[in-house]
Amino acid sequence: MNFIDVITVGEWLFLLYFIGMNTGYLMLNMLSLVSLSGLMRANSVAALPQAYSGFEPPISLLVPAYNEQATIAASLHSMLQLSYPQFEIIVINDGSKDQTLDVLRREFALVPFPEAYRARVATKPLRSLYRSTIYPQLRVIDKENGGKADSLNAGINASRYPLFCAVDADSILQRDSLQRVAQPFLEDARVIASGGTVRIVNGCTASGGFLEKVDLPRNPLALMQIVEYLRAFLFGRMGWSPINAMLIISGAFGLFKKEAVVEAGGYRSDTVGEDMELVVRLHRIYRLARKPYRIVFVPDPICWTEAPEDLRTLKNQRIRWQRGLAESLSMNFRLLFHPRSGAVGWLAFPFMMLFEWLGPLVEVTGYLFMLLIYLFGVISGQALWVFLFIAVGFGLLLSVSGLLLEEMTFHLYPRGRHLLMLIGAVVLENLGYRQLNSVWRLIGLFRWMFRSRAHWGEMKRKGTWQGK
Amino acid sequence: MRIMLNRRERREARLLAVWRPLMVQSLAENIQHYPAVAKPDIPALLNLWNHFQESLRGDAKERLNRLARDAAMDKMALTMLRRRRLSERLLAMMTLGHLRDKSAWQILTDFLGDDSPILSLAAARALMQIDAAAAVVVFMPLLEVREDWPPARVASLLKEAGAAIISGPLTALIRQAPQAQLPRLIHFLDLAYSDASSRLVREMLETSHDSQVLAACLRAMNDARDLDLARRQLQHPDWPVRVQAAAALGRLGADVDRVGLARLLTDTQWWVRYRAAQALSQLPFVTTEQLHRLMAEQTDRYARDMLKQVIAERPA
Repeated sequence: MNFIDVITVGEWLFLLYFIGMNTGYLMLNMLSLVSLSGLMRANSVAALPQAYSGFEPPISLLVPAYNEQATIAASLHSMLQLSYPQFEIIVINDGSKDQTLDVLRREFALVPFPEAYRARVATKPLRSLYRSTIYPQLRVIDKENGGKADSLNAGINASRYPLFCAVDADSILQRDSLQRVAQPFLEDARVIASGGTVRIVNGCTASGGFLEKVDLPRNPLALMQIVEYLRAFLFGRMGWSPINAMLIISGAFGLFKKEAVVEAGGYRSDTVGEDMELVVRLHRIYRLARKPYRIVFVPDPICWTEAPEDLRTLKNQRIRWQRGLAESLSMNFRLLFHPRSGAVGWLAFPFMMLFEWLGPLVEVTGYLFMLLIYLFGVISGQALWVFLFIAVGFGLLLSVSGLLLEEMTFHLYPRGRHLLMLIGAVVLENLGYRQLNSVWRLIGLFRWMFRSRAHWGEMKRKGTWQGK
Repeated sequence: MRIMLNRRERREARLLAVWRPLMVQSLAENIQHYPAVAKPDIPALLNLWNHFQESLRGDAKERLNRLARDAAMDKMALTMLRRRRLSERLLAMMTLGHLRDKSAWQILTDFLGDDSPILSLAAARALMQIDAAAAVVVFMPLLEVREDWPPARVASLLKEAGAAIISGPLTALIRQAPQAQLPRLIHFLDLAYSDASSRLVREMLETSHDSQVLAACLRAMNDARDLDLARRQLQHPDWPVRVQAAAALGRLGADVDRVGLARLLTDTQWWVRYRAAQALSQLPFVTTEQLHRLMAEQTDRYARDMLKQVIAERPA
């Protein structure tokens, strides 16, 4: 095989990879389309007012907090107003260096509480436990810094109810968020976890911790992330859910059966992707033990979060996410093609591995390779254009289909201006933003390979959506 | 697509602008003339009417029914029920249920056997609304076999039908149900009359040896005359039974139960210790000082910790 043959093989491999990846996503899109339209039809009637049956399982809301002095009080006030028959809130102050604990003490009239704490999952030492004298359902754990996973484990240990919901301290919820995410547990006893769609709050208006008006951000980075989230949630997750192969539940808002998580050993604190790792591990344990279970996606937009608006924060976030993905998959490698692993091990895991884990490596190499061989005159300009057409054109098609799903279902951005802005973002997103993302993800992949130290992701927040 | 969606929304808004005031008006007076409803607007109209129905109580519901019959919504719903689309069928069932339309009885009964839990339970609800006593006869036997029916939805249905209607058939069903189904069915006893459920709970506590059945019965226990049956289970080898026995004593127990509950404070299971401490705290006339004294008497650290927590949880 001479040099030109090697180049031709490489050229075809990259081309086939891009075609394979995008075809895979398009198939997921089709699956989502079918299940979403069914769900929306059933939801139109389910949305009618209904009384609680008294059979709703009580929920423990776990809110890990690290340096959240600016937003924690407002977030908790909104969480306390959630409509659900019975729930408690446990805030876990993970050794914050700011005034988070003081704000909590002052705002919620905390008093030390002699809890008979049960350490079912190992965590960093606890300093103290508090209970609010205003809201009996609110407790605060003050502990030594151990990361988000460690905090969630401490919350699990202190929780009293059979279901727990992990919520980010800066999440904006809707009044019926808990009700919606708990619905799968009411309908199917096999459900061990459910997660909802996370949407971007930038550009919207929120007041009292609840969303008031949906709008689009002016910041182009945030706008492109909206398109990205539509793609990730509306078909990235909705596509896998009907075949019980969804590998991620967002750490911003996910509901779990406590006993299932405790039996699995709780969250792992040696990964930055603790949310995904837990879900993949639950799949592994249940599949391999042949235990019946369901991990379900609720497509309704029930949690809103702020997206980074500057390149540095976005870069750090994407590096962390990629690293988390690599850790989650590598820690549960036994699932891959295991005879008992079903759709998870034979479809979702290899798909995730090939197109998400190794994706950035192939994508960046592919772009560079094609560009180089074009510059050295090995391929024609026409061949380069075919490659770019496939790589970018398919990407555009996928983003448009994400937007289409949103239009067909929740239709949260109703104005003509919104649609135009989103179409603009779809185009821009594929002309540079996605490629930049691939480079950041590649860095994440390298950091995972070289095991560099990971820590709580610090997020630069603007909070312009917050009402006065 | 956006144009079609906007057009549909505008159409719906026009319909609501006409029909919402009419529906409100119908609550106070008889409406003589109704605007014609175009075929594509029927689902939106029925949806609006059902929203009103689900939000109102008492006479207002009957007035809305009159409006619906006069505007031929019953016929619209019957036609819609024969269509294939799930959302239309559900809407039709809901409408016919609120209307208590007996002409739909047979077709709704057929839907009870549908594989879809959403559809079959919607049919069950409509039947219960039309004639609860007759519906219970066809619904109850299915309760035993339809494990796919979510308990919360079944409970809502039974609650809506009322204790007077469900108590007899439910207890009869539980009496003859296979062992494996009992824990699930016993949970619904909360919704039955207490005398009927107490009798059944008593019988089962006296005869059953199944831990799940015992725990479910103790959870449903609501008669202080049965306390001896709960006391007997305080030392049961399975901890979920001990938890429920302690909880039952907390609800119904007397001063004599202090010793038995105090013994559970040293149980190996956290939940047993917690429920025992809670039960002690809930016993009639138990003061915080008495709990403090009991705590001081404990030699076991876990027992002391648990009492300390429960004392702190007591309302000031």
